[in-house]
Amino acid sequence: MRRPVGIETEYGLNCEGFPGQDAGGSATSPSSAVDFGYEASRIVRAAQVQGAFRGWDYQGEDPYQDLRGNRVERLARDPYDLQDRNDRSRGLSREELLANTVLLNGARYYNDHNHPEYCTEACLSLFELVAQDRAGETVLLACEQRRNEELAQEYGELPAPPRVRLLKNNTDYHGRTYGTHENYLFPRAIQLETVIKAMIPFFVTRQLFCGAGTVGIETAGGATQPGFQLSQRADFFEERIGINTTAQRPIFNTRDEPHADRSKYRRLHVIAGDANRSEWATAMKVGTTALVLDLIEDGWRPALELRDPVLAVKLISRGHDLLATAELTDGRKVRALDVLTHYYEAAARFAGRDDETDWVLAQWKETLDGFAGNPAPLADRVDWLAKKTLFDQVRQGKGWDDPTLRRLDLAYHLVDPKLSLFEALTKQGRIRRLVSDAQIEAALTAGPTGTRGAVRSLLLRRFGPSIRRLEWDSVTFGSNGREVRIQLDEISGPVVARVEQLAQQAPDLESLFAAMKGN
Amino acid sequence: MSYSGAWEPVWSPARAAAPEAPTRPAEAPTEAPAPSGPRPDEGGGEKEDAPDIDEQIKRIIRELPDPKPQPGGQ
Repeated sequence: MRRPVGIETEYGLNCEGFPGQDAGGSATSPSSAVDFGYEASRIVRAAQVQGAFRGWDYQGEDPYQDLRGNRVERLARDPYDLQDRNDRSRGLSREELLANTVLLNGARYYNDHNHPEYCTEACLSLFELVAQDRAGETVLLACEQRRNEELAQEYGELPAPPRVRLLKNNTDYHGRTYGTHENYLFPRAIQLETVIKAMIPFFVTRQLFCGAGTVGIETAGGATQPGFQLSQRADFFEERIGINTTAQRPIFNTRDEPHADRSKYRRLHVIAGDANRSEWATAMKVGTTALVLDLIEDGWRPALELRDPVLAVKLISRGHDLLATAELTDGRKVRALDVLTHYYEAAARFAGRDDETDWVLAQWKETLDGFAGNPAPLADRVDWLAKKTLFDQVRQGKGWDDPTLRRLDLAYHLVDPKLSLFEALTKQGRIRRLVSDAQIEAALTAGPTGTRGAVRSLLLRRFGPSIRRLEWDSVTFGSNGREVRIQLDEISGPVVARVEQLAQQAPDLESLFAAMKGN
Repeated sequence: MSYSGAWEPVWSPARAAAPEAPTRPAEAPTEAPAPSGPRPDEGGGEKEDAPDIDEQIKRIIRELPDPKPQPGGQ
């Protein structure tokens, strides 16, 4: 990739058997029995912390800053979420509740809006990003197992103690969503309106190959209707552009937190995407989006504009027969396939640039050809198609209102491999892999190659006990009675490489500071 | 930074095929390659502990409750 990209995933937290919880699961509000803030916090704190750092420096965070140049006074909140039970979490300090943890690979892991969230550091390699993202699943699985052991002890008097199940997905199937966001660094010099116009049609249609699929049609906080969709997120977008993320969600999010040199960079904070189990889908979601940003930087502009993107994202998501069309501002009607072909034909100018680009382009072409003719073989890589192929066999021509279908959908996303449908399909060889288990294992302790995440990882391993504060672009040490802050405003490049080299060579922390002053 | 090749995808048969020229008309649909073979670190053939999908579906329906409501996130 020509730009650093990271992925942040809020994992679903399915809680079962808590005292007072509706055994049938028919309640539509989570407020009845479970303190989700407390549970999310305990899950994060169940992470193995040897060598990790507990805490987070919020100095560089400002989610109220808008890419359009203003700073909003408040962000919209879903009124349903404000009713959540919080009797146990109220007894925790802010630090305990948020449970911020920086793992040895430089990833941030914490309780975000009552969900455990795993954020990779930005990566320069697509396949390394996939491995870092998969490493998050490994971390979450270990935490789920530990938390369930704790719950078994805590509720030992009950015949069946409560348990938690973590999901890499984006819906609770009761009208609430939680996000998987991608973050792409791009130059601030590019006119924002240009980026918005170019990205929205792509965000609306890319679900064709990177939608995670879902059983049911939801409305925010409301009832669910039978059906099957390409995307788990499509139902929850209400606006074309906006800064909000927990309510009134926009297709193009304008949060302006570059976590890098603000004078040079913006961070494209993409909330219009699904959590993928398929490694291929993760790679293609990011790889194609990065290429579209390359196109924008290269001066290309799409020759189409959707008349109503919010309507289009839902129509396309619900049109799993692939025939759904969206209206353009010039009155023409196009399918998702047509839009993605338009983008592909432009991106093909980058063929031959590097191996990774060629891989993305070849996969993109093959996928478009598949959807234009016989999509069936794509079920080994496209999450929604893998699900639909299986669910069609299960339902044998019957409707989508069978509740067992939703249970199977849930099972596809389970992090625990014992009941995970995705893991079963993978073990059967019916889902393709891109990275090996050894690469995922390595990504648990090593930061992304050539990035400040690798520097953070190295500093943690070498000088962790001296770290006082930590965030994406800085590490603050306490040493010899003073605080010393290492600021990294670039995610990669010669400065980052030099700091990494010095951090490897320095015999101790003071030597590192001295060497950095001399450079 | 260009791709170093250090992170080769385990499954990448399409890498050998050059992308079609952008102006070339769409061809007849091509058959996608067969699903991924076993990963090098897993040895050959289907894993002995690979669950039968039908059995896994029955187990899920038997053991997994319906999804529970959760709070919304971002």
